[in-house]
Amino acid sequence: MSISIISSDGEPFKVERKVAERSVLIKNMLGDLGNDDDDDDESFEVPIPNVRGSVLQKILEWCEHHKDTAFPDDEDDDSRKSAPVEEWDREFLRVDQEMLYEIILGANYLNIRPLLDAGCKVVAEMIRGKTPEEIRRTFNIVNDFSPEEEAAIKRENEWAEDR
Amino acid sequence: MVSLLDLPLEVWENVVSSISIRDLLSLCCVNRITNRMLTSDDIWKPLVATRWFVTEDVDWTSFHGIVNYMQYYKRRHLLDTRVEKIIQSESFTLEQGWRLIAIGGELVPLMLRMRKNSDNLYTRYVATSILEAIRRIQAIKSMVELLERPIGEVVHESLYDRLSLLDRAYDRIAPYRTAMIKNIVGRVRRDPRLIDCVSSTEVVLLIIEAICKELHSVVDERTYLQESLDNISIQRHYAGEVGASGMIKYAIIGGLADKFNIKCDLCNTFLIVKDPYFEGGKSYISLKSGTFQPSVYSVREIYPAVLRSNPREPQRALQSLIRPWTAKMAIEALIEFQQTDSIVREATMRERIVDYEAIYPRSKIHVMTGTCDYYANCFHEYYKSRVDTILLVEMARRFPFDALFFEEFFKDHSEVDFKQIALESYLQPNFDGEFVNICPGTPFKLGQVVKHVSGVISVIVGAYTLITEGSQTTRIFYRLLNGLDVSGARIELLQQIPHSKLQALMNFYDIGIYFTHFDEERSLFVPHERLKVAYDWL
Repeated sequence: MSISIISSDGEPFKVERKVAERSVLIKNMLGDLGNDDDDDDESFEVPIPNVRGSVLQKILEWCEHHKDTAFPDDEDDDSRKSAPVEEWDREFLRVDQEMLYEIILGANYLNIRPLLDAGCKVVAEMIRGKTPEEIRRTFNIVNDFSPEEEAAIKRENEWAEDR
Repeated sequence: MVSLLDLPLEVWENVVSSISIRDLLSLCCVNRITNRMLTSDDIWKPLVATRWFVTEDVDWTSFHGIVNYMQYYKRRHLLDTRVEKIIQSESFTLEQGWRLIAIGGELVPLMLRMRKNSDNLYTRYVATSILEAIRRIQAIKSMVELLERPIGEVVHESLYDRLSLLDRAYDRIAPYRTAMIKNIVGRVRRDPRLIDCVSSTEVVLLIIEAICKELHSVVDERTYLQESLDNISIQRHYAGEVGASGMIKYAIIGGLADKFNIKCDLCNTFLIVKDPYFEGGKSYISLKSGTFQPSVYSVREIYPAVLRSNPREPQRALQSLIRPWTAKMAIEALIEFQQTDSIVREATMRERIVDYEAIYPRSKIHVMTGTCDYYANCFHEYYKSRVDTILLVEMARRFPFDALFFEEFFKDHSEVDFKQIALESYLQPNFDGEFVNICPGTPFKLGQVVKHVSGVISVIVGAYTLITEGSQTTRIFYRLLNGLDVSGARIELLQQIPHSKLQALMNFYDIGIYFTHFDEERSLFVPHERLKVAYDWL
């Protein structure tokens, strides 16, 4: 059985079932369709209306690389959260910010937990240790507070030292 | 163009779990969008949960009732920060400890963290003491509440839950217990025979079978006799290291039955199951020949045996035999705890159940006796008119952090000045022997790790001499961390200390009274100044 995943802009990607099933969303869809491994000619089309072609290609590249990786249990929050981003993933996520967010959004939609976690950790690293002004600069965010508002909010949020 | 601000809330929850609170607060100041999104309950609720709602003894109803999670986080964060500073301060006093204990359950998560992560052994000791005092007080109070309930009310696991709070290894054992319960309930629910059960008694029998199966899956059955599993494992893996009576087994089964809406009573001999299929609406399950061989009786079947044993008043004998336990009776039985020391000593077991050792440090043996005595004494004194002053004085010495609680608990019973006694004995090693100056050259030094002939590994915390009457010979005795006093001939210096043993020693609840930390280079625990002064020769 081969799977054809169609991006929002109509681009089809042909992948092995195992690769596609890295996405729990797709896995559940295929699960509903039954398990006819014998029938090699059969082909399923899975439309993914939320993810555009270039992003989907990138995500499937990740799925292909990790098709045999054993990830910690979804429910095992501790080991999931404390594990550092592995080197290959880090390299893979070295993309421009827009692509990074789109990968995260795609992984969230497709329910690919390990990819989502890795993406979020990369974003977290970009935030870590920065002042609000530095965050604005890094992420290109406009400050829409009035000076008085900003001063008040800063005062309100000064209670944590370094934890 | 997709930007950071387009990430949905659920993704932010994930991001936030990997940054510090300081970073999160900085994000809140970035602009209106981040402010609105990141000050919301959705973001702060999980942070509150993972930081403060970590153990089973917290009040979850209070968690669900929180109005603004960010504000809640702020309040507790500031409280924790303040308390941490007080405890870590050089000038920490016992009086400060009492005031902290009065704060109660809110300090439990911080104390847990400090007990585990603190580099300074004394800080660990203080955190542990405060944690335990808070839990003991909670346990005692809730048990008094149970005791005052009307006779005949069911006491099962709830009682056991409260009792577990007295256990030093509570937080390590609790998740284990929860998993056991979950697995056993799961086994019963998946059991195809469950559908065919018409009476509650049948379901209880399935539960008993599931317990046995679960025990076998936890412990490799080939190395154990069925019988030893039966006697030990429920207690070891589930109820903790308590060699209590069959009562515990019944309570465990009764507690599980409750999850299937089956009501049970406990009595001396039987687990009494409410079951309309039996005469009198009750069946009587006995585990006399072991958990693996439950026997079920109806009241009619018990009667002939009773008649034989007490032909004159069979009715009364029957009544006393099957009278359900009251809370008071249950507590009285449970305070006769005997910890199953002998089981732990059995070397084969120790080697097999590695995980168990990790959760339950050896130091517990020494500790369990202390807490059980504590609890037994409290109740004993509370419920009788004449109190034993010597006993109360001893308790104040042994549990200085609980002095304030004692004062309140025994206010109508005793004139003992608990606080004064606690202050006098705080951090004072208690020796009966006579201190003399021994010339340098003693084979052992303070803080050295030694192995006793019995195989126990411990640390030298002091020494004293005894002059044997008549013979004029002076003998030196060393006091070890576990409370043992030994002569030099019975211990040897341990050169290579295995990492796990060192960890176990560091987990000893009172090691921080004597030492600040372990010096890897010199391979000994470094004593506090006051101890160095007392033992300048050692």
